[in-house]
Amino acid sequence: MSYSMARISSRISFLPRINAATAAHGLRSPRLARVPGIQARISGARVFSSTGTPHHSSTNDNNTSASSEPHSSSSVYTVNKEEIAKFAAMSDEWWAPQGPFKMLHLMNPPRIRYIRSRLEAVGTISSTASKRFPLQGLRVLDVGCGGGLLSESLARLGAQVTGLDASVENVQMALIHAKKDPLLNGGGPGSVEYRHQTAGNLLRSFEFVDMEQLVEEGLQFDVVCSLEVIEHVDNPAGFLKVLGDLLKPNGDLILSTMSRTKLSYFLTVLCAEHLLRMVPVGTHHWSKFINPEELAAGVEDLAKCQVVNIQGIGFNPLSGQWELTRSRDGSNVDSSTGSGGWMSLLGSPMAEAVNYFLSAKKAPAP
Amino acid sequence: MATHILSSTARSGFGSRLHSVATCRLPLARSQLPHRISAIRVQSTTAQDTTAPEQYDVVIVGGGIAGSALACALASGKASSTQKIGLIEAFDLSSHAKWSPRPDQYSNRVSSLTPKSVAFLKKIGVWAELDPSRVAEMEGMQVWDGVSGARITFDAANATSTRSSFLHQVLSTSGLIGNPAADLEYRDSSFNDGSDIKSSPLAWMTENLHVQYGLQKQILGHQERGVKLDIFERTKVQGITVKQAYPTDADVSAPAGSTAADVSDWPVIELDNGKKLQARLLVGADGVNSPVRSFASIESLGWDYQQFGLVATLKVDHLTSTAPGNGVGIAWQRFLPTGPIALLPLNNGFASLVWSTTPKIAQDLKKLPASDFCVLVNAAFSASPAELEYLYKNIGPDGQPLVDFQQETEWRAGVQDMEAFRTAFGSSRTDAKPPKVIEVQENTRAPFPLRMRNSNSYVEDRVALVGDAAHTVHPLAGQGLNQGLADVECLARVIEQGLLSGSDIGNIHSLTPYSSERFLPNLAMLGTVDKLSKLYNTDLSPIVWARSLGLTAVDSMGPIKTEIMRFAMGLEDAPHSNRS
Repeated sequence: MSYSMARISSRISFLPRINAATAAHGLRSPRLARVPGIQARISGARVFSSTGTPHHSSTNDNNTSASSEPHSSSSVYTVNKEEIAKFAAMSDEWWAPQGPFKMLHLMNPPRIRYIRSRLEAVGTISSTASKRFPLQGLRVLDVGCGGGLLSESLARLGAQVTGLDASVENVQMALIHAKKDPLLNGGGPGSVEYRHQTAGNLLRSFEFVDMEQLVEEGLQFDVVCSLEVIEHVDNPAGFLKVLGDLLKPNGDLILSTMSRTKLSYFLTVLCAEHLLRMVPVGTHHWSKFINPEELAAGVEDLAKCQVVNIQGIGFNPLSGQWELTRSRDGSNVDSSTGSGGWMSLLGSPMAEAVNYFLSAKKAPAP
Repeated sequence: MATHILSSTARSGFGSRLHSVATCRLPLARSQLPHRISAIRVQSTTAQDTTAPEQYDVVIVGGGIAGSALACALASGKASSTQKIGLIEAFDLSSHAKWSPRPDQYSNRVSSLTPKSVAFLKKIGVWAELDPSRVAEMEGMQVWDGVSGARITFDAANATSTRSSFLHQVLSTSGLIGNPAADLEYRDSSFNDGSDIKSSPLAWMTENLHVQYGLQKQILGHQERGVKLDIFERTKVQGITVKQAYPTDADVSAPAGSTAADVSDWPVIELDNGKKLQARLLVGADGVNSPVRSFASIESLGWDYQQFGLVATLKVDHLTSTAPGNGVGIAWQRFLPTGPIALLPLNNGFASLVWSTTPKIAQDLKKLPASDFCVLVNAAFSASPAELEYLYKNIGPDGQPLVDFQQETEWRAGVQDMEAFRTAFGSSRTDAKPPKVIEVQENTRAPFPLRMRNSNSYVEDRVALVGDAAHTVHPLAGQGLNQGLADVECLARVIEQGLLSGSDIGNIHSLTPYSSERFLPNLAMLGTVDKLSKLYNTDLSPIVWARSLGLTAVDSMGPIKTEIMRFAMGLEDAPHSNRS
C-alpha cells in the first residue's frame, strides 16, 4: 500500500520556484522509482533541516534562493507565501484523520511497535534504554518518508532521523509538520531532517567524495527503514543494494511490502481500492508486489544482510486497527491483540500473504 | 516574528475547528474585567513576550475525582510520568490531603465504586491511602417496585456464577472486546485469584472526599518523586484560545534560523491569575458545563429530567431489618412513581440516601424537621405510593408538617401489616425489610437537579473530555463516578501507548482509540439508566404490570441476571482491542 504522494502531487499545478539546478532534475516525478537517473551533484542535494544550522536567507520575499553553507554541501531553499499556504493545506490533508491517508496513520503505531521490538530483539536497543527515548543515539534513515509520519515518531523516541522522498511536495509537507512539535525541535534528543532525494542519489551525489568525507557526513545509518516503498520501485534489485550500502556494519534493515498472492489482490486492489475506496484507485500495482521468500533472497544477496524476522500485518475491520501477526518463530509482538491478529488464524504462510515486515542485520565490520 | 491569521478558505476539515471557534469566553470569566478580548486574537508577538505561555504536555482542567485521578494515572505510567503535567482547579486541592473526618460523621456525597474502579484505584496507588474503616462493602442489593412490589435481589455470587459467558467468549476471540488477559489483569490486581471474586463485594461505598484525599496524597507523593506535575489551585480558567492554525512564511522559510517550534495549534489556557499555559493535550475534566468542551465546540446532547436528587447522611437501626445479617452491607432501592429512592450502606450504622423525586418534593424534604424527614424516608421504603402522596401534600410552605407524620404512618402501617399477613398467608414469600432510619445528620440534606448528557465526541484535535464533561448520567444506578474512572483509566492507557509508539499524544489520531473505546459503553449505560428511569417513573397499570413481570422474570433467570450484574459491576468490559 503506497502512500507516496502520487495523487496529491499530480494535482499540484505549480512547481515551487526553486533554483534552476533543482528544476533541471525533473522533480515533479511523483514516484520514487520514476525519477529518471538524476545526475545530482553535491550542490544539488537539498537539505531541509528543522533544527539544523543558522540560516542566511530569511529575507527573501517571492524569490527563492539557495545559499551554500561553508561546512556542508547542502543548500537551504525558501518558498514564497502562497506556496507555503498550499503546502500547509496539503499537509493538513495528508495528516487529516479521515483523509486519503487514514490507513497509513492507523498503520503507524504497529509499525513503530514492530521496529522497537525488532531492535530490542537483536540488541540494538538495550533493555535498560530510557523508556522515554529508547532510540536515543541511533541514526535512522527513512526511505520514502512521505509526509514524515514514521520519521517523526522515530524522532520522538529519540532517534536522529533523515527522511528521504522523491517528491518535493512530500518533503515540504513533512518539514512544515515537523515544525509543529517542540520535541522535534530541540525539546528532546531526537531530530528530523528531510532530503528530497532518492536513496540512490544520496549515495551517488557523493561519488566524487572520498570515503573519509562520506563517513564524516555520516551517510551510513544504524537503522535503515523503507516501509511500503519497494513495491513501487522499478528496479527493486538496485534499490536493495543501495539500502545495504547505506547501512553501517551491524546495522538494521527494516522493510515492509506486500505479497503477490490472490488474497493480496483481493484485499488491496479489489477491496481497498475499488470496492471500499479506502485508498485511492491506482495506489497498488499488484504485479510489483514481492513475496516474502523473494524479498528475503534479495536482502541476503543484494543488500548483504542476514534476514532475522518476517512477520505479517493485517487490518482488522472489526477493531479498525492493524494487527501484527504471530511471527514465524512464534513470537508475538502485539501482546495487545492476544491472538496475534485475525491473519494468524489463516496459518503460518498465509499470515504474510498480504502485508508483511522483514528485518535483517548487516554483517559486523570485518 | 509577526504572526497573522490566514484566510480560512479551502482548508481541509481538519483545521476548520480552529477557525470557527478560536476562543471561548467562559461563563465563569469575570465580566467586570476592564478589557475584553476579541473572538480571535490577532497577536503580534515576539520571542521575548513576557506573557509567553508555558508549555505543558498535558493540561487537565478540573481537579475533581476524574481530573485528579488522571493526573495520578499519568504520573504513575512508565512513559507518561516523564511528561510535564498541569492540573487546574478553581477550589482548594491541597486541603484534601488534610482531610480528617470525625468517626461519627459522614459527608453526603458518597459513591459506590465497582470492582473495576477499585482495581484501577489500586493500580494507581490510591486505594492503599484510604482508611478501611470508612469504606463499606456492599454485599447485596434489594431492588423492588413500589407500585407492584415485584422484587429482584442481587448478591456477588450472581455476578460470577458463569465466569465467562458464551457471548463473552465469542466476542473476546474476535477481538471485539477486551482480551481475557486484560480482563484478568483487573481481577488479579483486585483479588488474589478468580475464586476470590465469589466472596468479593458488589461495590465499595465511600465518601467522595475520601477518594479525593487518597488522590491528593498520591499527587503529593509523585511530586516528591520528581514527576513534573504542577497544581494550579484556587484559580479559574479565564479563556482558552488558539492563536492561529497555520504557519506563516516566516515560520517555514527560516527552518534553520530558529529552533523554536511552531505550536500555534496548541490551545492556550489563560488563568485568572495571569498565568498562561499552552498544552499539547488539553483534557476537560471540568464537569457537566465543561468550558473545555465549549472551546472544542463539541456538542452535548441530552435533557434535564424534571427531577431532583436529594442526598443525605442517615443513621439507621439495623436491628429493625428483616434481611439476613440485619441488612448490613445491603443497598436498598425502591422505584416510586416520583423516582427511585436508595439507601446505601456505610460503616457504623450509617447510610447514604439518594432520593430522586420532583423538584418541589425535593425542596420540601430539605426543609422538613429532622424527625419528620426520617418518618417520611421510612414511609418511602414501605408505604404505598398513594399514602406517600398524601404525606407530600401535607408539608406546609414553611416546611412544617400539617399533620402528625408519625401518627399517620404508624396507623396505616398497622392496617397494611394485617392485610399483608392475610394475603401472604400460605405463600412462602416474605420480603426483606430495610433497616429503619432513626436520625439524619445535620446539614447533609442537599437537592441537585438530575440530568442526562452525552457529548457527540469525546475528542478533538488536542482536546479530550473525561467524566461529567463527556457524559452525565442519572444517579439511579450509581454509575457516574465509575464511568468517569473508566474514562480516565482508558485515556491514561491510550496516552501511555501513544508515547511508546512515538506519537504526538495531542494529535487526533492518538486520541481516537480513547473515544472509540469509551463512547459506546457510556452511551449504553446512559441509555439503560435513562430507560429504567422512564420505565419506573409511572404508575400506569399496563406498564407497571409489564415491568413487574420483567423484574420477576429476570430475578428467576440466572444468566440474564448475571450479565446485568457484571455490567453494573464494570466487569463486562468495553469493546476495545488496543491494550498492551
